[in-house]
Amino acid sequence: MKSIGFGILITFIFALIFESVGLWQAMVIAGIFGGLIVKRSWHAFLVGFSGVVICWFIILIYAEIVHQIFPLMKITAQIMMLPPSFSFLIFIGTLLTGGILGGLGGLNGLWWRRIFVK
Amino acid sequence: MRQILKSLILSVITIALLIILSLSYGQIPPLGKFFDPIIGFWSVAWQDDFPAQSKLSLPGLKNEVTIIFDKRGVPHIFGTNETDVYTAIGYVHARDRLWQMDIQYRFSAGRLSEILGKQGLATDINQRRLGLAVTAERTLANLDTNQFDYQIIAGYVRGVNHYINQLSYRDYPYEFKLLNYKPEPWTIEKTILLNVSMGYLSRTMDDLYFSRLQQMFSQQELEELYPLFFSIPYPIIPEQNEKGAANQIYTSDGRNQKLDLNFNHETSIEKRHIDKYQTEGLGSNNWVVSGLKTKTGKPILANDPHLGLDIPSVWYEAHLNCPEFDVYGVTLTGAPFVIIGFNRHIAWGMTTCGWDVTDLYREVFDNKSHDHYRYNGTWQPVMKLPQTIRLKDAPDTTIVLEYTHRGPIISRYSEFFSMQWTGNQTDFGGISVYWLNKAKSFKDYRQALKFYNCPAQNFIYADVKGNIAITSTGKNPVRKKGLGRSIANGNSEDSDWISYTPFEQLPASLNPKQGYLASANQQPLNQLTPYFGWNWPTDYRARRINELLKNHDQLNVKDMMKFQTDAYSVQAEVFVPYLLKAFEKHPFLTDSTHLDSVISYLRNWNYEMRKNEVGATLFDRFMENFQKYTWHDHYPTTQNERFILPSKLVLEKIMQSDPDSRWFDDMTTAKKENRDDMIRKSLIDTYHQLSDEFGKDISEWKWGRYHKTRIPHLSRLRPLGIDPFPNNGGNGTLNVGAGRVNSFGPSCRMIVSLENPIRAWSVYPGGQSGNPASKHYMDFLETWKSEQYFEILFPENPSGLAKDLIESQISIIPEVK
Repeated sequence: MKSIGFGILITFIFALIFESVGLWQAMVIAGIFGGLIVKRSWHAFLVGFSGVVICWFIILIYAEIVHQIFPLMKITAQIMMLPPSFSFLIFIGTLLTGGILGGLGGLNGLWWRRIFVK
Repeated sequence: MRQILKSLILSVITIALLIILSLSYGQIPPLGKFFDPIIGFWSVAWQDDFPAQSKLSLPGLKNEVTIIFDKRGVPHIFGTNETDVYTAIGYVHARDRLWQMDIQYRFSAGRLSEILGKQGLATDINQRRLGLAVTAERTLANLDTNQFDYQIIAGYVRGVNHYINQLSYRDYPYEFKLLNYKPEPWTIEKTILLNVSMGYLSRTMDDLYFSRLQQMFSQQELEELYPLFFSIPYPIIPEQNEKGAANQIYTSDGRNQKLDLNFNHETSIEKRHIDKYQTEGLGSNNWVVSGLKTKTGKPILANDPHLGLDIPSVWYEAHLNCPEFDVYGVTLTGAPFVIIGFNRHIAWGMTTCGWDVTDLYREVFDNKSHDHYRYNGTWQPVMKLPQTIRLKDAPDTTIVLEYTHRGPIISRYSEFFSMQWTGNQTDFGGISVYWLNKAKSFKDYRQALKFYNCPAQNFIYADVKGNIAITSTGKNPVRKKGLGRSIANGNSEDSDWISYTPFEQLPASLNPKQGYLASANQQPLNQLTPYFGWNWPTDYRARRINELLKNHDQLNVKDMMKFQTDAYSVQAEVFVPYLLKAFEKHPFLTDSTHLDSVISYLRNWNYEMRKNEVGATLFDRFMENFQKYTWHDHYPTTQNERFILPSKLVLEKIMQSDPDSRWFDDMTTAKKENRDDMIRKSLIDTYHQLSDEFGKDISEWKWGRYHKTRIPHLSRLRPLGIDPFPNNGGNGTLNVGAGRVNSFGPSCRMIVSLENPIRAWSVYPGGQSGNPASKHYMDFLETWKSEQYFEILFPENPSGLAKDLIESQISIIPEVK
């Protein structure tokens, strides 16, 4: 359990570092770092997924508090043909995008470690 | 081994996902970067949070420039020389309206397909055939790179590009992210092209319409239905201008050249042109009152140009200050100058003249590939300009533009027309606005206007010395007798334009005895020689403003605000009494309680086209029906053809003078109808139509429910625009807004009082920023909707702005290499 928490933290820190330079693709790498720490496959996915989701969630919530991003989210949702009451799907979609990248990164990290570290 | 295979497959899946998220699909942007919380669309929300104080360096600047943004987001730019100030406004335009600049340019240049794919191709082909980009290219070639005009625009371009160059994907405006493309460098040619494309306001297909009408009506009928000009009570120039050179061109002898044209469906040049109905009541207003009629004893100038309403607005307010000038007003993004505004000495405004500055010529070619065209008995080579149109996600398309010596050939069907249009002249008319920005006197104003070419405008003027003036100016072609109104024979030099009406002979007035001047796109004069046009808008707005100004003294700025937002319908004042009379004579028709009620609403109506008025709704629909029932049976009902119906002024005239006119007879019935029959039919149908649409309760048929204003985003993406809202004003009222749901209207309202110091008020529907997440995206809208104004801040130096009025400040210093 401890390693999961630590893995999430590692993923979160790297996700934050990569995000600060706008490298969305590097969420996979952030996940890989987290995945290196755990031992089970689902733990690895969870670590990568959660680390990136938490990172992106905090960024977006901070942005909402400081810059009010939700009106823009509503506009984007409408442009993407979502009904007004479903505009939160853009928020969810954003987190899922990052989360899946991180999760796959975590799995990659674990599985490749298994090959090289017996 | 199994683990390695599993890991490889996982890696492939991961890479595949990364690739999928990096690609765009149709209009869907690449979702990876689009959703990224720092660089994706979310970042647009904080692009607009500028620090209270910032500094940047800019190459090519001579000295430091200070830009202070007031609380409305209006930049006040202070520099030590004009080029620096124009560089700064370039930077600011790009910062606040970059996508608007880009899309306006792409539309004019015919380059929408590069970002929209096939969806934009028809528009691109159409735009390229009009030749605007070719004109811009030639205009640029005519500019001397050492001359001040070139240098000024180069400075502006430098400012725009400095902003663009510092952008990364994170900083791109929302629309660039949505459409997934990046801003390209701005150029001098782009600025010139946008200037050329403003001429679009003046381009008409009236020759085509009139030639078709020639086939349908006798000469006598044409003169009755489509007179060359009307005798109106208030032409723009109060004194009849004696300077016109009557012998230069045709008078109203009606012997207009008439060609035997093949008007099948294919002749419709581009469908969207011929589909254009004459929309009466649109246009612009400007007026000026001399000190004799104002409380302050100083002139007051008012201007509200009526254009298509868009978000972001076509206008961007700015204050430019340097030793050469100190000018405030609205600019067009993409160009450096103040278009409508004032400085410390003068104020000016514009309305469109509505002159006929476009002529079509039927051309004959030697072969199907159009290598030569017939001219003066010889075959002249057709100039061919191949154009490659790049398409997003599709192979390039190539078209060939064809030019005769008069201009581009704009039809590709069974008839071929070349188009000569003053908008395709290659002198840079935009420079006249530059001189206006600097003008200090009436003499300077007149001198500045000499450079102006297109679109022809009525430039209204006032100065601090108390002078008021108006000049209708622009290039007006001088043709030979019989030419101008219909499609001409391209085979002969006799059809060519001879010259342009000399500036000194253009309609103008200075300090008239009446103490005011007003233009609302009406005819400049009642006797029009030389020929200026024929398809004049109705003069209902002109009548209203003239009556208001004539009958009021001791006018103040509040009066001007009231006048600009006035919704009184002169049209209703003219037509409704006849309507009521038609029912008085036939009381049996009003035995229905509902119709009684309709009549009662109209009888008690004050002719105000205001949101709560039922009479306004009844009248507007009645007029639509009355026009339709009077004219439509006299026109063919071809599916793909539309016509310019006779002006409401013609309808007004026959209604007043000839109640039994044959035009009132419904040709589809055996009975002979007259005016009152048509009026009754129109109103009864109005009742039935409105009942169907809004229910039987007439009190619910309020104008605000029927008539709405919609302000779409330039991209036409609905969520970025402003949904329809009830609005005052209607067809032919000063506060104009024709139609059910309209997107035209006062694109800005400006009032300048030339007292000491100068004071001014303005508002436009929208806001300074093009960023949909910005607080300045549409922060002027409520003020505009409620018919209020902002008082303009016009400090002489940076310290003249109180701190609590400042939102942010940028110091731009020259970049040291």
